[in-house]
Amino acid sequence: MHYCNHTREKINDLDFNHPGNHIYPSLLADLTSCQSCKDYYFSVKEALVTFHQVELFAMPGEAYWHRYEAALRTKLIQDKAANMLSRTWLRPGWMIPATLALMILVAGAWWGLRERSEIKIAGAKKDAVETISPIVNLAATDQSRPSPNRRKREPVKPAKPRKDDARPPGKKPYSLFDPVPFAEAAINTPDLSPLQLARHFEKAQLVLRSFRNTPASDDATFDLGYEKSRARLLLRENIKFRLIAEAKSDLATEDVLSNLEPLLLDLANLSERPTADEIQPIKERMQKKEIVAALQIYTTSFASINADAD
Amino acid sequence: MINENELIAQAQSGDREAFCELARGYQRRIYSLALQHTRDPQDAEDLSQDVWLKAYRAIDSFKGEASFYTWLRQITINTLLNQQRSQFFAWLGGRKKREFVPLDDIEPCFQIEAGLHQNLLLEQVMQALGELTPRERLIFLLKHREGMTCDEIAKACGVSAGTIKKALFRTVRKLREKLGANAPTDEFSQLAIGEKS
Repeated sequence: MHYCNHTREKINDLDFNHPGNHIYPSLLADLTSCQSCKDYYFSVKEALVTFHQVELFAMPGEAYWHRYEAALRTKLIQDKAANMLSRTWLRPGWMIPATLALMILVAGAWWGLRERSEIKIAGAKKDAVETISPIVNLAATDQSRPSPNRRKREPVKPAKPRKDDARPPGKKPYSLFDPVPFAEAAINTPDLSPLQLARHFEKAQLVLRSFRNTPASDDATFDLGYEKSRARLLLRENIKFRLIAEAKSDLATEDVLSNLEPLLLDLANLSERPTADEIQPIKERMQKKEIVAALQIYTTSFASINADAD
Repeated sequence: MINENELIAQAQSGDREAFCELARGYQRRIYSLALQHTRDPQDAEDLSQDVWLKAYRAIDSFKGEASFYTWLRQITINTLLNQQRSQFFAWLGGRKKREFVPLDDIEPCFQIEAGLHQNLLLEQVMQALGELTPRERLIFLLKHREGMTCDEIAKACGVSAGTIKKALFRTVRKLREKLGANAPTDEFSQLAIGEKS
């Protein structure tokens, strides 16, 4: 029985010059009996002959080799000079103390820079907390020490806890007065880039859409765990961006962010399995404000500003 | 006439002229291997001279356990493999990958006397070699130019003998398609293994 692939492997072994002695008779029989194997053998041989033929006349002439030798000699001289230099300067005796000294210098410079930057940030934070906005000031006060006037301001709290809230007992509802690092954010982000805003609006848009389109489960509740967690994250960003926009007097951006914020807040404060009654008012407000469409427009416009800037 | 061992001993003691004399004996073989691997005369010259520089730096480590050419060939193989890697990283870094240099551009470096047929043949072989991957090309050259055995190539390239055999098998098939006059329309590659003809 003849197998062309086996014959081809034998030809390859033959090509390697180390086939077993038993291969020759069977290979000869295979090549005699099968025309395509014979063609294959001859074409392989012809390819190799062509390759060896070319090898003979692809070499440059004598004149080239004089130039080649001269170039090599020059390189060897240069290499020797370079080697002597490196042997003098890169000896282990020199290298170890030099490396240690360099490491000490780098560590000292790093330490000094760190100290300076810490002092600078602390000063900037202090200035910003005093000047950015009263809300920022309040938040900073909340974080640092209990204020005697704090109770008087608390009635402004926007989200009241629901009676049927299934939230775990340890967690309190999300509010604007939760300790969000507004001041640091405002300091560390000097300018709102259009790209940042476009991304934020896009994320918010996706969350709102997802919320709007979530179908009810079998028990007439809605599984909104993902939307809730995303809304919490986005709320933090939204507050940060709004404060920066406020500080920069960017009224248009501030307006969009202000419209978005209550919706995110409500989403973040939803119970784990809200009923249709709970989510219906939020949906109605979304529809009334046409917030998804507005976000779409803003995303596009900010993205195009960013593209122009690039 | 000083023999090779004496030249090596002189080169090891720092005689540059002795090393140049040694190089004169092997420079064509090394250059030819590099030329067929790189398919570019300038690259071949750079690579082969790089091989000589490395050999010059490491001549002290030559103990005479193998022949001088075997030792030199291993340096050449390592240099060619390293060149592949550096070309890969250059390509990753966004540099333009080197294309095959048309024969017209390299003709001044050659003394091609046999006319049109030789030119065409040379171009055909260079193009066929260009179809191979650098590793396949190296393996093929080591086998068919240097006459190394499968095990020797495997040892030199740091891979298994089976890998070398498979690579050579693929390489010969590709070259056969390009250079073999009787090459059938790849009917073999279409046959499943063990299929009866």
